[in-house]
Amino acid sequence: MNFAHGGLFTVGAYAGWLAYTQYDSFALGIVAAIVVTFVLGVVIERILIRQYYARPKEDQILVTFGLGIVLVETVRAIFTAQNKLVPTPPWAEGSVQIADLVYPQYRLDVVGIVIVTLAVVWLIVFKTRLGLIVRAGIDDSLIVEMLGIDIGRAFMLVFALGAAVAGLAGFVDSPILALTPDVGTAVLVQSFVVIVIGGVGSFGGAIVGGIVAGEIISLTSVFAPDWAQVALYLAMALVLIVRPQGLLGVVGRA
Amino acid sequence: MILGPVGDRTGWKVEGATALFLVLFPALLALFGVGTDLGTRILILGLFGIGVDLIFGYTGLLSFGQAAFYGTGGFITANLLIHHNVPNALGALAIGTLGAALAGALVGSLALRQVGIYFAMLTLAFGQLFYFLENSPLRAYTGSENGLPGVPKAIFTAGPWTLDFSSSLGMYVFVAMIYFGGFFIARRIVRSPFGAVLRAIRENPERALAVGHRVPRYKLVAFTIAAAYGGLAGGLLGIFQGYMPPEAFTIDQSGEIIVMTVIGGPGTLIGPLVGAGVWTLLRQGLQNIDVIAGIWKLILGIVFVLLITGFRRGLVGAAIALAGRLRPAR
Amino acid sequence: MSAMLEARDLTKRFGGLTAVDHASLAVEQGSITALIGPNGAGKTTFFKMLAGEIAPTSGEIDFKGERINGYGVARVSRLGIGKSHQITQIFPNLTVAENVVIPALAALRGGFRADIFGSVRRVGGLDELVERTLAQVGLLDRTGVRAGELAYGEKRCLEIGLALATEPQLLLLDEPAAGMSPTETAETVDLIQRLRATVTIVIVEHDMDVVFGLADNIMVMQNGATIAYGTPDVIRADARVRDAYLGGADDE
Repeated sequence: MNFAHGGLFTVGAYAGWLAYTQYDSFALGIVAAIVVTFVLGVVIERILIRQYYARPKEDQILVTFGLGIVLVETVRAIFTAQNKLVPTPPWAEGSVQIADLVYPQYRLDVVGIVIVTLAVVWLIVFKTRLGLIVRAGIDDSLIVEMLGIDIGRAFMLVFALGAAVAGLAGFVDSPILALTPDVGTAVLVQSFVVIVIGGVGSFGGAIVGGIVAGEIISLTSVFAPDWAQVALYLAMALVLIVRPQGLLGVVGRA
Repeated sequence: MILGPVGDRTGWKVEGATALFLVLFPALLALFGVGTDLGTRILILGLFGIGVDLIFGYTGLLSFGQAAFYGTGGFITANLLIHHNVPNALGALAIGTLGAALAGALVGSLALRQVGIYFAMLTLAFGQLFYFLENSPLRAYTGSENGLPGVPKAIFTAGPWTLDFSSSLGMYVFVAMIYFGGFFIARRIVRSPFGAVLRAIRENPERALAVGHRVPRYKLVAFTIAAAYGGLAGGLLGIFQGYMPPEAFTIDQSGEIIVMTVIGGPGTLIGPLVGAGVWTLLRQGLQNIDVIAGIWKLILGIVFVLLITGFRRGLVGAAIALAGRLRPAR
Repeated sequence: MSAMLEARDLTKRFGGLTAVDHASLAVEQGSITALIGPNGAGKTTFFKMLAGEIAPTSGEIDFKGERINGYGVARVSRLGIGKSHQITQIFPNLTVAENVVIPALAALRGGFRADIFGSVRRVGGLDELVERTLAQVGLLDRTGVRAGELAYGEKRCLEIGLALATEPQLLLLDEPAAGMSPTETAETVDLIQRLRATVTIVIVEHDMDVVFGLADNIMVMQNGATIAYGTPDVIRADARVRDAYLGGADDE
């Protein structure tokens, strides 16, 4: 997770929207969002990020933050700041009734897409050679390099993969949100909150944190709409006081 | 004497040069056809940035939530003045600054439990908390997205005498005096033993702790001081504009002050003023050129990325390095 | 006479791994104690517990009669235990003099003071302490240099200087001579000899000439446990030590 992911979310959303509305194919939109942000991730990592691995953490934060601005402003320059309407794909229109609850079909499909994405990412991180190299490389990059493994390439692929996931998220989210260049920033902050609540560095924590955050917002929206957003951040503060490592976090991982 | 003046051999020259600059600044702006008000705005941001520099440039803490304190100080000051709760602007500013410092202590005590990117994330999130507080539950005091109009100007009366800062130049003088006070205090802070420990924390927090310093307390006090600077600057913004804008609380505001500080040069105190000047004047200049009016922020974003990649110490840092290289040749 | 530092049954487990297993050590005031053992014996972990850098899983540490487990590294340092690290931990963008000022400030003005309008020059005794420390570690002619620009051996000296400037009564030296040239190593040995007049010292070191030349007592660790303790002569004669360590191929 880094500060450029908000910008990549926006880029993915616009790339997907463009392909989707041009060729009237939602699947093509997904492909476009993933491919564009993946390639962008490769380029960014090669040109910029790789110079930063040896520099202080604060520099890495600053440069990704700056990149976020550049990405969002580029999108704004190309597509203007006006809202874009992203239609729900025809096969996902209507709604579904589960017990007493009525859900829009598309939102359920999104849940499906998210589950598949999480599974793919989980497999890559924990079950492939690439994931192994990167996890070992974070612990001790010198040893990994001594073994003759090109760790630079592995880090690049992971960075690009992260970018692609952000891009995909941006696109599948866009029929639900109003698409503007600033959409990524708002989502970025919320996902930080989700990570803090769920637990830093914890895969399951991010999911649990997301569910908890969603519940807090929808429940407070019913009883005290003014406080809905505030309640989410107060919950985060409470988690920090009571359980600083997050709900599913492990002590020492932060 | 082995120590010399630790960390800084400039004596009072920097204060003198800054005072001189503040006197000449409106005339310099006029030379380029820029109004005094823009200078006042730059000083307010420069003051805000001093706080950011204290925690980032000197202590190594990168906070993306400083707008929370800018807004808090601003809205407390504006409310006090609009409802005439305090006799004059200075009293309102003092209370606003104190309120922002309290908010800073509260946020700091939570966010400082993490370091690095997680600290940055937390400050960003707490910044949003304040934004949403301003936006909904507290709208009676903040005017929500409308902000608070009708903030009175700085006029002081004592018996038969009146000191009126409400003209454009008067406002500049008022803000410049407060900026200089803030700058002077910050210089004292960074040259104190307290400031020496802050720099040690920036360089190597683990070792600063290992040699016996209570690092968490130093961080919290530094964070609180930075919040106070933000609050003071926010209060000045409301008085200067006669209107307290809700944008003071936004993420964009938090981000911009970081960008200004980094462009100008972190760890220099004067850097944020330079960065604010570059940012504000470039923005003004670029917006006047038709072709690129819409992409001024993109251009500044690219400049920012290039600067951190190549010129880590910002414009002032680069100037100091250059001066240092020229000196032996003399 | 009771010991200055007494560690009893210190144990540290990381998950399933027991790094230190019921190790005990008593250090008399004014002595030099060396801690040796093959790599992975638990010396560094043991040391970190003494300095308060990590908390023991079980066991007790008493320093000058005070139970110090759980105090944390800053408080332990202020009580009078200074440590120089195996991996140099300096303040790279501060000058050499400023580097030494930082621990000296902790020693002279305490763990925290909000003296935001104070002056470094008005901290009583600071100048003397900094000058004395720099003279001790031989960096008096390098005061204005940025610490990050020092040569490797100089950085190691500064590392020891940072520990000394906390005015410790007990000094923990974790491989002070690691990576030093023979000349620098000899100078470091000289420094330690001079320091013993004022400071009690515990040292972890791989260089056996250094260890046997300096130490009054030697503790040998293997697999997290103490396998021998005694004077250099006793240790030389100990068959188990020879098996485990001195005669082994593990010596580096």
